[in-house]
Amino acid sequence: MASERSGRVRGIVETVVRSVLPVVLALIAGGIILAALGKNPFVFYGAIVENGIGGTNWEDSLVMMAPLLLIAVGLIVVFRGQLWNLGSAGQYLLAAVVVTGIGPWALKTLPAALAYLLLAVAGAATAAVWTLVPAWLKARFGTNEIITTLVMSTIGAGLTNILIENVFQDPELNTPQTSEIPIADMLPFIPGTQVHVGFVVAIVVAIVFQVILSRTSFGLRLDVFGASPKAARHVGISSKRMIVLLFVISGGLIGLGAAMDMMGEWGYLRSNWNPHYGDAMIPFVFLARLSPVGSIPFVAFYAVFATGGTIASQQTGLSVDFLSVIVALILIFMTITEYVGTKRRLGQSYLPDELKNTVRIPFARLASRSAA
Amino acid sequence: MSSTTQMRPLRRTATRLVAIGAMTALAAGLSACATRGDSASTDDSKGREVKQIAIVAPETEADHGWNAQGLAGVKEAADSLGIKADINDNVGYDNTQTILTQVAKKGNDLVIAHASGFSTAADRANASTGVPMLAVTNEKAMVKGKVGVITFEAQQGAYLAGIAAAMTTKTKTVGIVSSADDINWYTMSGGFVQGVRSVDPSIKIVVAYIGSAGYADSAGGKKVASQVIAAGADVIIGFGDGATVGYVAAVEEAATPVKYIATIGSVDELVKDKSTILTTVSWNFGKTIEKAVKDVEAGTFAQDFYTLDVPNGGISLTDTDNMTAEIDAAVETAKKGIEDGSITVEKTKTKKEFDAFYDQK
Amino acid sequence: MIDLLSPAFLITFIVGCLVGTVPLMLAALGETIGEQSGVLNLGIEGMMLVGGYAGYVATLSSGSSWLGMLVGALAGAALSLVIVVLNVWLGLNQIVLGIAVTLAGGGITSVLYDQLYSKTAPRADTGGALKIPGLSDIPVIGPSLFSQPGFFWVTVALVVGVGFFLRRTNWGLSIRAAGQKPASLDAAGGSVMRTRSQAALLGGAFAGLGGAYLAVFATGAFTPFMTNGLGYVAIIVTMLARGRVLWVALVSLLYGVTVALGTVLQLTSLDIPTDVIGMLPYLAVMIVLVVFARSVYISPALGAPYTRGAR
Repeated sequence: MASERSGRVRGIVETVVRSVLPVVLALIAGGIILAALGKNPFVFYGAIVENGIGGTNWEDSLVMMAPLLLIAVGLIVVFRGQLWNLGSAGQYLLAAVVVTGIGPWALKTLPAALAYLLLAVAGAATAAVWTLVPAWLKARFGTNEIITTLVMSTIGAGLTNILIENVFQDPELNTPQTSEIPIADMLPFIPGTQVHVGFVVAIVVAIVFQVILSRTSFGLRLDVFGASPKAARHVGISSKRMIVLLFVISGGLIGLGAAMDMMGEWGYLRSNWNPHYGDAMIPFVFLARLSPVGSIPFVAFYAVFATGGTIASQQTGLSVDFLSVIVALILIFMTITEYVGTKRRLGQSYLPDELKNTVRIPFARLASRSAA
Repeated sequence: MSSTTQMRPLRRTATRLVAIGAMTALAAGLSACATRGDSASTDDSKGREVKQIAIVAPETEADHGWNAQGLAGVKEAADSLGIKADINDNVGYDNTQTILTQVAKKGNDLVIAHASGFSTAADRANASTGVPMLAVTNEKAMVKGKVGVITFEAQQGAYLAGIAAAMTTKTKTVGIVSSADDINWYTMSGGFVQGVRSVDPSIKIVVAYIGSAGYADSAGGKKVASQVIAAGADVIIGFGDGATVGYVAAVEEAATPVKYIATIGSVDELVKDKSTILTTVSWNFGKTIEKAVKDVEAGTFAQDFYTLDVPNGGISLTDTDNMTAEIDAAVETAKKGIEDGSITVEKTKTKKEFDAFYDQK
Repeated sequence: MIDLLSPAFLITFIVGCLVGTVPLMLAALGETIGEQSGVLNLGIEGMMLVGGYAGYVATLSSGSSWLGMLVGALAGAALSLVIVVLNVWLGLNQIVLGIAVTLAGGGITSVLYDQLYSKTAPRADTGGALKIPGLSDIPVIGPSLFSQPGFFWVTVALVVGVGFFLRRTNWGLSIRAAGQKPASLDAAGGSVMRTRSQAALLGGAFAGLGGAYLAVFATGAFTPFMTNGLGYVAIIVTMLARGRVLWVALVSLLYGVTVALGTVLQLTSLDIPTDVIGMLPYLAVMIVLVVFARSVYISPALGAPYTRGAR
């Protein structure tokens, strides 16, 4: 009994460590780079905390979480199936332009709740449709979805610009931008805060999908499919249908994220703007072990980082792109800690066989030569 | 077994109905939440003391143009008024509203949102914080007493540059290289064409664009500038931001002698040989920002647009050795004509307008 | 209407094509070598950027563009070590690592450039063109094709060289075996890991060269994220060329032509929006992928780390 409990506790501790350690290591490595550049890491990280959480800034961080979390869940669904939807940028933008394009009209003519629902569905549907071509190519021909989703993403971004500049352009503005959804018509705030309800929607969706993925037969089928499409076929799961379904769900969630962001935070869409939310989320969904609810703290961490990071970078006199370096470091440390963790669990040597030999042989030769 | 298989479709439908019901309830419940709060109310007619002003610029002063001039203007105004300047440059284009709000709350009494893409965000940041904002280019963003807008009559300066170009070209061909679909690039292109034609309508004008938003694309800049030079132009006016680096590279590496006209900011630091520069259509923000600050203190902020034009010195041509006495005289005459209204330089705000203008002869 | 067929203009057009082609071709060559051995390098964009930055800095400090290219190649190879160690040796997820490398390369070069050079933006001296005696006097082709910087000819030699090595040498055979059927390479006594490591390092070096060419010769300066997705185009070119080096060269050239054509189209009276022109190469790729879906071939062992004895 006691050992079982301590085993579970150890399991939890280990999970937490494996999730948090890469972030900590990345922050330390980032700090070293900062010091090498002549900046004070504590000032930088302190500024991030201050500008990401301090005062009323925590509300801005929560607002950032709305699209990020929805996109994260969208990625989780499809990554669990070993399908790499790397086109979230284009899917997000197309959904966003549809929402901001028809948004002003919808909110003027329809009752608010209905308009929000319509726009959310429109955004989700647009992004989902945009995944269909890569999905079909993968399902039917096995075409590598990394390339197809990336290419469609670029086309989607270009198409978004064309739509903004030619169809949805705000006639009174001199810059390429859609007409605004008036502030009064945007998503309401959670009472007592300046955080719009899109945040709540995101949390609810994360919980719902956590349940779906871990407790329903669909979730089970997804897991089997992700582990081995061949095995899945043996149990009667149609891989073609699964692939299309997963992509569509993924796109739908990403589009929903765009809708929440547009209806709650922005209200308009500028041409030639691409926040690349999805790319930033990829490391964190892996850290969360592809668990929707598990990704919430990571998304929160990144949201604070992104919200506080711009002013922090700028105050330290550093380019804002330094944040990508930290994200990259998190990714790299994550793969390493994962590896170490796995090998530890299985009791194997850290080095794969071939490498061991490559390393051992020269040493063995040296040893024999010196012995002789 | 059979009973459960029969049950399954029913259960699935039930689950789906519950799910849809839950979502509808959620939506209804959410819409019952408080609608957006009112904007922070401020009594703007009284005016407020200005101790610190801020500028939020997307890039650094290294663009030798838009950002450089804006940042310089704020520093100039702050120095002249004896107040502090909070410089926030290199912020990029993400999280705009959050950043403007954060900067506004840092004890700034006026925030300059220094990019045309920031103007909507400036409106919203003002609505939530009550801090006066100064936006650029988009007249729609103006909110009397709360959000001012700086507009530009840059075509006037480009007109003067066109005169200088027309009087300098030996091949009777001049060029325009533009980095983006930008209203200010179009107005200046139009002004330039008018200036050139006012001297000699037979001069050929070659126009090339890097793309729709190639502001920082220096490789693209070098490419289009080379092509314009290959088409015979020996005087080129460049609209860039960062792309200017490429324009200047092409000009200096050209096989034939080419002169360059810079816009917004000076490129003296970019060129190896300063005699390559014919002149610069300089945009000077300092005095306008000063005026805005004084208006905020007097309670008369944002009653009308703040403009940079030739008569008020916001737009001016710099002098160089290549600006001969003859050219200087012609430019002076034209300048007086603009000031007293006898010369009106048409403002071509879009590609369509510019093209229509260009095609007239 | 300017005279599009004037010699001066044609010269600039050809130069524009070549300038657009070379960085892509170099990167795609590297990606091909890696891909043929079974390593899908998704971090190529990051490697190009570090190569570009390193090449720019080296050329600035030394005044020699040749040294700049060498340093660029080394920088690209250095960054590819992340992939070599973590993916090839330890078998960690290639996609995650590829994204990490891209983010890292782009981020660190942007930060460094911003810190050290953004205030002054110095231009690197490319050292001028190598005018081939005699040939460079041929009208039109002379001043354009035969007056390219020396490194252009190195690129041509590399294309021929790599093609030869992949098809006709044992080393090339090992590389292709590592990608197609690693088990047989292992059984034959070769080292899959060593072969893939070499291939990946070469891939990184070529990507670095591509980025360095873009910075040193095409622009004379470094701008953060100046590759603008060119790395991903290289991946696409590689997948379309399916390991045939001649195709890599041709598709890259086609890309260079479309890019140069974009400017030409503007100078004519055709009013095609610039957004559409920018999208054209990608639309073309999607159309190809859809139409030729059945025959777009990707080596079976791509991306899958090799473990001896595993099924």
